[in-house]
Amino acid sequence: MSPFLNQGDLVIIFRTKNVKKTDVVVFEKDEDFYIKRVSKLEDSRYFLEGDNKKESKDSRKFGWIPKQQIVGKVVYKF
Amino acid sequence: MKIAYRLLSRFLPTNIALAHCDIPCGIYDPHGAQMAAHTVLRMTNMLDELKPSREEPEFEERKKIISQISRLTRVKEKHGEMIEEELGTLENDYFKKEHYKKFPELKKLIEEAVELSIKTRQNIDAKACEEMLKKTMQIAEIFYKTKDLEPVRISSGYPTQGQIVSHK
Repeated sequence: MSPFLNQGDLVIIFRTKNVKKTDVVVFEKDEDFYIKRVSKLEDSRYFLEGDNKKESKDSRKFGWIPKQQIVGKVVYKF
Repeated sequence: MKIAYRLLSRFLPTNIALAHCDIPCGIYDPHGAQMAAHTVLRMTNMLDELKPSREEPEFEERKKIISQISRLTRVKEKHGEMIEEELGTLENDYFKKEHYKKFPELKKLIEEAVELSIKTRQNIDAKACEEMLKKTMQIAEIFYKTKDLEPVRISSGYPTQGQIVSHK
């Protein structure tokens, strides 16, 4: 997620499933949490991409993420 | 800021979120790189074939030619990047140590194909495009072999009239 986030950065998230385009969101998949930015959205699914497009493995690779897997959105970055 | 972090982390639940996630979907295919290589070759040929009707064409014709060059170059660039990306995915996510050991030429093939994808973006060089296509096909053949599938070269059916690697 560079340059917005770097390894070890701390963020505060607000638990919500109502996110909009450009929001940075945390989602859950296979018992892990991931953080990406919303680039496209439909009714109940989101297309999430990393800011560091060249390196990021994101929805371009694993597809749309269903709304129910969204944990929340970043509201503050330390 | 560190104090605020320490205070907050005492009261708020914390968890680790991964940014460079690699969710192993297990679905890999060398087709994308080959198709992109054919596209770069096609765009290069089309750019090469662009000719004005006479030595000093009218402004209207110049505009059309410039527009056509822009469009062809855009597609050439995009598919050149696609080759780099597709091969990067195979290299980093699919091919494992044992594959590189069994096919020692693989690493070099990928490196050369990526280098050619840059060269073909920088130039209008059909020969480099053909070389790049050849390498993506060789990589595809190795890919299918690692899956114990027999690779076959079939007609692509594309205007480039070349072949593409699939499997039996």
